[in-house]
Amino acid sequence: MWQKSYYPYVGYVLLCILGIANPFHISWINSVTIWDTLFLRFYGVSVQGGFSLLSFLFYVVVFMGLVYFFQVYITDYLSGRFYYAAIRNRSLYRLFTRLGIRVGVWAITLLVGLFLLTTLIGLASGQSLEPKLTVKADVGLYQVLYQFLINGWLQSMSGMILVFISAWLFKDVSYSLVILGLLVLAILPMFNVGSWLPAGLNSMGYISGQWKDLIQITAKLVGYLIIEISVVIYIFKKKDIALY
Amino acid sequence: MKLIEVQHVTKSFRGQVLLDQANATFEKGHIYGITGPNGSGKSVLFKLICGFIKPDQGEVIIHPNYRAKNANFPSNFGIIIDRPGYLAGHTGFENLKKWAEIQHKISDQDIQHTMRIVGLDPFARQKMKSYSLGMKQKIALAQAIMENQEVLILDEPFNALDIDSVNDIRSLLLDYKQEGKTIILTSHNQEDIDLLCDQVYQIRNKKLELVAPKVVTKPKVTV
Repeated sequence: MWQKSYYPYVGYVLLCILGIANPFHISWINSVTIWDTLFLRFYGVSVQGGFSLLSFLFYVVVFMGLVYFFQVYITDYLSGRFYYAAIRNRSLYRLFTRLGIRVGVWAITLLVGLFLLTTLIGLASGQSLEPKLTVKADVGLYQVLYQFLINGWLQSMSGMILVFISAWLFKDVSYSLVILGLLVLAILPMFNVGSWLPAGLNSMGYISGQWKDLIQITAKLVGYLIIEISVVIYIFKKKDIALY
Repeated sequence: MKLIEVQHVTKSFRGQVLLDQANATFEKGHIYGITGPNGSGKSVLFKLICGFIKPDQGEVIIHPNYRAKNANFPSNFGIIIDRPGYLAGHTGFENLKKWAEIQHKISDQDIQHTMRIVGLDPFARQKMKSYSLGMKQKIALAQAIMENQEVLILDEPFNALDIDSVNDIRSLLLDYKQEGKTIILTSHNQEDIDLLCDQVYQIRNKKLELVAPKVVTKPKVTV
C-alpha cells in the first residue's frame, strides 16, 4: 500500500533518472555506447582537473543520497527499536554484522539498479551495447565497471559506517548531518588533496587508464573500512549506548 | 536460584551520580518492583541489568543459564525499556514479525496468539502510526513476552492501559510467576506494586534499598 514515507525514495529515484536521462548534458553528444554514458554520467570529480558542477551535483545526489537515507534509517533504528533488536541478537557484533549485510545489499542493489537504468536509457536513446568506451581511448571497459561496482560499493559502505559511528556516539542528529556535509566537501579535489580522504573516490574521473590507480583507490577504501570497523569495535567495548 | 545480582554498582551520567553502591538480588520465580521518583535511575538500573550500559564501579552478574558465550546481552530476557520504537508505517503484526525474525523461534501463529493475549487484533490493517498510546504499549508488551521469555524486565508496563487491560496484564504476570518466570517491573501506581510484587526495591537518594514487603491481602485479580 502506498505511503507518504515513500515520497523521499520516489524523489530520489526520479532525480537519478533525470540525472541519467538529462538531454542537455554534454555526455549525450559524446556518447556512442552505453559504456560512454556510464563513464560520463558518473564522472563525479577528477584529480586531473576539468570540474563540472553538473557531474559533481549528480554524484552528490546519487551517492550521498544513499548515505543520507542510511542516516535517516539508523537514527530511527537507534531511537527505540534498537533495544528490542539488541536483546534478541544478544551481541552487538552480531547486530552490527547483520546491519552491515543489510546495508551492503542496499548498496549493491543501488549500483546494479543505476547500471541497468543507464543501460536502458542509453539503449532507448539509440546508443550501442558494443563493449567499448569511445570517449576515452586509454580506459578499458572493465576498469569502468570495476570503478563503478567495486569502488562504488566500498565508497558507499565507508560513508555509511562513518554515519553509524556518529549516530552511535552522539545523540544529536545534527552531528550526523555535519558528517554528511563534511563528506560532500571532501569530494571536491581542492579539499581531497592527494585523494587521501574517503570521499568521491569512486568517481569515474579518477580513472586514469592505469589499473594500479584503481587498485590504489580500492586499497585506500579498504583501509578506511578497516579503520572504521576498528572504531566501531572499540566503541562497542568502551562506550555506553547513547540512544535517542 | 539467584538469577541477577547487582553488586556495589555505581553509575554516573555527566558527573551526576544516579546510583551509588547499589546492591540487589533477584531470584528466579518471583516478581520484583522497583520504585522511585522520576529520574531516580530506575530505567538506568534496567539498562545496567540488560548490559546496555556498563557500571562505573561494581558489577551485574547474570546466572550462566541466561548468558551465551561472547554475548553482550542476556538470553531469554523480554524487555520494555524507554519509549518503544516502531516502524510507524507497518501494522502491529508486521512490527512483531520483524523482531521475531531475528531469532526465528516462533511462528506467525505464535505472534497472533500473543497479540490476542494482550488484547490486540492480529489481523487489523491499522498502521502503528495511528495506534493509540495504549495499543502501542500492548505491542511493547507483546514483543516482550511473545518468545516465551523467562525473565521480563518491564519499565512501566501498565502505562496508558485502560483498567480492563491493566487487570488482564496483572493476571497474566501472576500466571507467569506461577510458571516460574521472573519479573522485574516499575510502576508509578502503588497498587500494581502491592498486588504483584513479592519484593520491592526503592531508589532513594541514589541508594537502592530493599523495602520491607508490605503485608497486604492481595485481592484476586479477575480477568
